[in-house]
Amino acid sequence: MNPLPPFTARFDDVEVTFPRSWEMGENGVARRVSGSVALENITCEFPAGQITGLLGRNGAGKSTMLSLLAAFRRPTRGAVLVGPDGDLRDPWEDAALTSAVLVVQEGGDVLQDEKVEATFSYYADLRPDWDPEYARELLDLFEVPLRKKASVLSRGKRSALAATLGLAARAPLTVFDEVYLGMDAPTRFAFYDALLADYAEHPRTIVMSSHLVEETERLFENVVLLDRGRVVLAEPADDLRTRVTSLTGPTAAVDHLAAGRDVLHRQHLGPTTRVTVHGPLSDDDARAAAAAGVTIGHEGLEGLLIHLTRSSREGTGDGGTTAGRPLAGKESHR
Amino acid sequence: MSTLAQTLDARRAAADRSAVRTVAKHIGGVLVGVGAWYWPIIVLAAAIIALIQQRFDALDGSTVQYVVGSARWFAFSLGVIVPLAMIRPHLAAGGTRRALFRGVVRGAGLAGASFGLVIACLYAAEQGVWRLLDLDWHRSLGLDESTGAVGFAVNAVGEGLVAFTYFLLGAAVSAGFVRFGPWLGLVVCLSLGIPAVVADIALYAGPATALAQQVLGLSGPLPALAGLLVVVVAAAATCLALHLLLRSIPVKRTVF
Amino acid sequence: MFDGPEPIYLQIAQMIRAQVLSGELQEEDQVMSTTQFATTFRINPATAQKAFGQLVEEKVLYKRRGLGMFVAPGARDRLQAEHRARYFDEVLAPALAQAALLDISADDIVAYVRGHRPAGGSSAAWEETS
Repeated sequence: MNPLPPFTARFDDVEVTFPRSWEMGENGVARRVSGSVALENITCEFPAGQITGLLGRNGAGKSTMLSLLAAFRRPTRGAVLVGPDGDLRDPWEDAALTSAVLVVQEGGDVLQDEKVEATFSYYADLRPDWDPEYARELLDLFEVPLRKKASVLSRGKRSALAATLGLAARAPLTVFDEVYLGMDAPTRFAFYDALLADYAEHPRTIVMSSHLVEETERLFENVVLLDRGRVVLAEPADDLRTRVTSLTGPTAAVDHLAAGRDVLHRQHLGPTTRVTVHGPLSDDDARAAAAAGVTIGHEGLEGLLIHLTRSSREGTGDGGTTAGRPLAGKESHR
Repeated sequence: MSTLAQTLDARRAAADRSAVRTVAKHIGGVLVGVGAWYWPIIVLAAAIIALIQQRFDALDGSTVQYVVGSARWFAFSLGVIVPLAMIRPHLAAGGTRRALFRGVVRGAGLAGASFGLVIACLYAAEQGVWRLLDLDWHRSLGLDESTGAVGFAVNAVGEGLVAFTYFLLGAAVSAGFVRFGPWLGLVVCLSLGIPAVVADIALYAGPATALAQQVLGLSGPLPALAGLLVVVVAAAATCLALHLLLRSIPVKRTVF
Repeated sequence: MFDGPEPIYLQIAQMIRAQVLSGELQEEDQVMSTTQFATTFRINPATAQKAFGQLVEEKVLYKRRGLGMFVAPGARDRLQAEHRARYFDEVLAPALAQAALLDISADDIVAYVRGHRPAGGSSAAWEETS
């Protein structure tokens, strides 16, 4: 089968609303689920051949957004398009695309009551780019038993199985949706290593949703931050790491430096004040800070995420209350 | 046409083909695995009934006919369980709903073919045993009492079609529940049951057969064929219903 | 590794520069591939690529097609010259400013420097520049 180039995925003003519906619970008893808006005005892109991190709190809509890529459901409004650059199409019921887009969700979508190997041969048959030898290697690495029933595996082993499926399928668009949940730390790092090694060898588009930001952020080339069903930012990861800065020093000097900036957090420790500001500092600012005895720190991606989602959620006193606020804040620095 | 478009087209065709094949193969595997338990039990049950009836001197005709009636419900429950469990993994593995539908129909075909053949063989074997024991074989259920090749064919095709219909019905019922929830789902299921009931009546009570015989004045194997034709129509109706239900079925993050 | 505040690609470039300066990486030595870099330090290969790109531009590294990245001839000299130029502004000036705050006299500093002059071949270079 001819290989495909890495896929781009694009969301164009996508909205997903869930109607009031029934769901089958784990105990087999149906329960009412009230309607809700899961995604609103989602417009963003996962660029071809890059690793993008989809970050956000639990319930921000990450899984719903990623489900659209695999055509697990249709958007209520807007368009979801995937494909090689310049030839993006709707993946809905198009086998050429669905067999090239793999969304691995937590626990893995496996044949529950069958042996693990049944799931493997199923994926092997449906995935044109499946590499059976690589799949074996990964199973050995993660110590997943082939001959056990999928339903009796521990949570960690199920996640390892899901990770294996995701890597061995070599899909031009591969999405790992919180796939590391339940894995212990060594297994998680083994997964990140395997992902990087295989990505370098077989370039493809990878999206990883995560709330373990600290651990995964260095894998990302791009970051999309989702909060309460909206895209808060979508930018190259390197640009974001220095976006939130802390200024620590004498209160007067800190206040002087922080004046006119978007202050996210303020903390007093006696005569010393620590202020967290949103937006980069210029070299001049840095020199002024050093001269005034103010220490500059960077909060990294995790800090940015916490500040952006907290301020949009709780509407702190020193700013607006909508999810769009952080973007507005960024513009105010230009 | 660019090479990229050609590649996509080639991959689409290949992916569709292998997805349908894989779904059918998977259902076939389940049929073999579960059938290996089910059919020996059926044979055993028929034999035990025969022995008991013999003991009380009440052995009168076929005992297989009493036990094979459960086969359609067995097909029905497989139809409920197997495709439902496949929806999520199938879509996640990269298959389309259309391929799932086609594969399930093919799988139902496998179920029908194997059930029909096994049941026809059971009847044939029973007839052989009865002949050896010098007993007169006949049955009280079903529209046809033919033996030999004709009987075998009518049993295989008739029972096969019924199993096929019931398997699809099972699949449609579970898809109906997934799509419409318990209350509306129940209504959908009840209306879905109509073709199956029609198939049943056509095969056993035989109004279609009687109609063909008495009103149209047909004779020979033709009235039985008329009955089978009704079963075919019922199977087709169930098939259509399943297609409509699976066509846009969403995947929910639920554990079944 | 690479936990500093700057973008990671800058930190990587800095690390390689330091290795070239210290002689840990000799001219014409091959450096790790982006893949090795990515998996060793668990970073995005594009980040490593970006660092290499910058170093190629600075003529610290050069690319041999199909083979990988190598330390460019004269890289160490160029880096030394460049760092030497920045040394006074970026390293010494703040230290002297601190000394002034602490009332340390120039003589004390000179005496300290004479006493702690680095040994070996580099002392000649030291003398020339001071």
